Amino acid sequence: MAISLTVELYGNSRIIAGQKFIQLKFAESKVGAADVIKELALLFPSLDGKVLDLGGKKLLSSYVFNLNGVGFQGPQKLKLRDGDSLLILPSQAGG
Amino acid sequence: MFGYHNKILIIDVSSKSWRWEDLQEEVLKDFIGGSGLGAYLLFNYCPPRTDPFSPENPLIFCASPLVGSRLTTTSKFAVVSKSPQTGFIGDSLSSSSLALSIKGIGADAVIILGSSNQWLSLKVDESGIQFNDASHLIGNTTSTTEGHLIETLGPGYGTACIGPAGENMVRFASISNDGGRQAGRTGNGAVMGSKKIKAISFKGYKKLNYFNELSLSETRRQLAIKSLGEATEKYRTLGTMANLSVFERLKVLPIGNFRNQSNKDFQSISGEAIHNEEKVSTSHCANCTIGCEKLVTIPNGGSAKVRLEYQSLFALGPLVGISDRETILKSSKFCDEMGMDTISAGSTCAWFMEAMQKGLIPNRWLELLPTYENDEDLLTKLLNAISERSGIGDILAEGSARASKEIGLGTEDFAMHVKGLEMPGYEPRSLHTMALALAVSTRGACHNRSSAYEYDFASSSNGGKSSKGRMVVEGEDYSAVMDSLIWCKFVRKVFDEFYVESSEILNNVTGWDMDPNQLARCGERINNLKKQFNIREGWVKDQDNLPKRIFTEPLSDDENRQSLSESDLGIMIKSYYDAREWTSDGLIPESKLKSLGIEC
Repeated sequence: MAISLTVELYGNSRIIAGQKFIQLKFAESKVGAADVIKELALLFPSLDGKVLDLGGKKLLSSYVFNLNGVGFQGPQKLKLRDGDSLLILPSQAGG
Repeated sequence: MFGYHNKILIIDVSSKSWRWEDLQEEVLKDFIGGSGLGAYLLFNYCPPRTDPFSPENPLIFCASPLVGSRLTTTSKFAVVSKSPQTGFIGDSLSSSSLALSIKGIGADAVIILGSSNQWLSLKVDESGIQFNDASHLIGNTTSTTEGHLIETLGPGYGTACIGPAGENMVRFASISNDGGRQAGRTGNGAVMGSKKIKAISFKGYKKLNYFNELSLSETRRQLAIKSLGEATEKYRTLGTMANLSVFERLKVLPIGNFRNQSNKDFQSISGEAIHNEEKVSTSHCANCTIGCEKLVTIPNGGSAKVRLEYQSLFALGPLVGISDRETILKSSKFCDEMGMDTISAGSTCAWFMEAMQKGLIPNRWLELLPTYENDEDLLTKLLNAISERSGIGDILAEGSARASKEIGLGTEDFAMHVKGLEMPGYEPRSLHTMALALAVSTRGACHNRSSAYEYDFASSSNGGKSSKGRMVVEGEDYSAVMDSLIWCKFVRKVFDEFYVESSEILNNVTGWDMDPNQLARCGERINNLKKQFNIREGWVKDQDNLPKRIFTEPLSDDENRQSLSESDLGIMIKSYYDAREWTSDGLIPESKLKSLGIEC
């Protein structure tokens, strides 16, 4: 079954992409962090090396994933479902 | 000795005299510098139960062993006194070339005692100290004052000064240096005002030797490179104002005096929106490679720029229920120019605005209120009145704790402070490690002496309540070492193994042989001494607490309902006391003090 996700960009990732929200659709239901990163890099190549580590299929350490605005998950723990919002946030919380 | 001068300069403004005292190496090994050394000096130079506004309260400026080393972010200093907001230890940090000037005169710390009967501007250089009349500077803003002194003293002087808020002893007045940087929290500017010191300028070029300059040179190079990497990306791009949109989304942005009920959209004041829509430039402190400072040109403000960061954006925006960008930027600039802490100023106004909405402000106070058109106009006029201590401002200049106590009528329950220091922009009902840190911090509701939010934002933080105590202790001790060496907090993730790398650097500066565990032990010692100072000044267990609103008004969000009960906080506080090896009443056993080498 296909699933749709909303990726929300924060911090400099939003400035680079010029978008706050990105809708992604996947033909298969089993979608992980690596799939999202690959798709984002296709849509916004300028994110690679600044937000995304495309080679490593992960976020750079300056960013973290958050699912639906609740808690923080490492990429291995991400279980994405249809309708989820996946937030990409700066990893530094200070200020 | 390497890295230090081993000297304290003690200035008495009552008698217009000064003297130098030696600083023992053992003290420096135990308390390092900055905030730690400041705590030691306060404990020893402030007589017990001194009124914060009395001449006996020392105002202490502390450099650190890393000042002058040219390691990135280390041009920092601490200002320490007994706080007029809390009655406990008050310390705040600021940055840039003033730190170099203080150390340049040949002092590791400068202690100012006494009180003048006329306004003074102190000039400290190799020829001695001049106690100059400052009456012509009174009423001037911080930037005008600093600008005037740069012009009249000539090049090379670094100046710390107060604005009208400090002159008027607004309890949350700040001390300004290097073009608007602020030692903002705990009211050190009011203490400076109580001594009738408008400004103090330092100039000196006393050279220090370092034990292993070759190794330091390599460290300098490596840290500079690493500081431009992923570990500091947020600070370099949007600065701390990037927090606003993230915190709003995660429901940890306090809104409307922590009522968190607002139909306003704060996205227009997000760091991203300001970056895209306003003219923003970046600035650095001296010897800093990161450049977190974002100078925003104020709309309709001519060429005026404000040094904007998250806490000011939060406190003068969402906290007071205001989303108008121009009002927030102008208010932040106004606070900097008047020399007052934006968090306490915003929070006190937020408390007053809520009490007004609820009809709890007595008529005798309402009569003192200027006429206003809307919330934005009210905020502007309240800030102005506070800085002048005119009308209602004379009451609000006392801060939310004292003002609410005077009214009563339940307004104390929503005066959002701990121990008299107003709360920063981290929602304790969602961030429970932070909640504990805010409750037990020796300087009141402080986010910077524990960095406990890091645990709440980390995916591995989901321990039980009884694990929070250990986390806060670790965060506090780590922060105490950072604030004593002094590193900027924004460089923290540049280190792979903080204590290993920092002890090696300290040894290369000083020639000591301190191991990482001993350095960590310094953090523990410093925090215990701060607590012991507070105990001496009358601290009681009930003061380790949070405002009642936090317990009685859970966040009403269906998706992410968060709350904190008083009993849960009690469990966390017990875990903190246990982790500190303190008694169940939060007192420090004699054996603990002895094991840390603290003599009281």
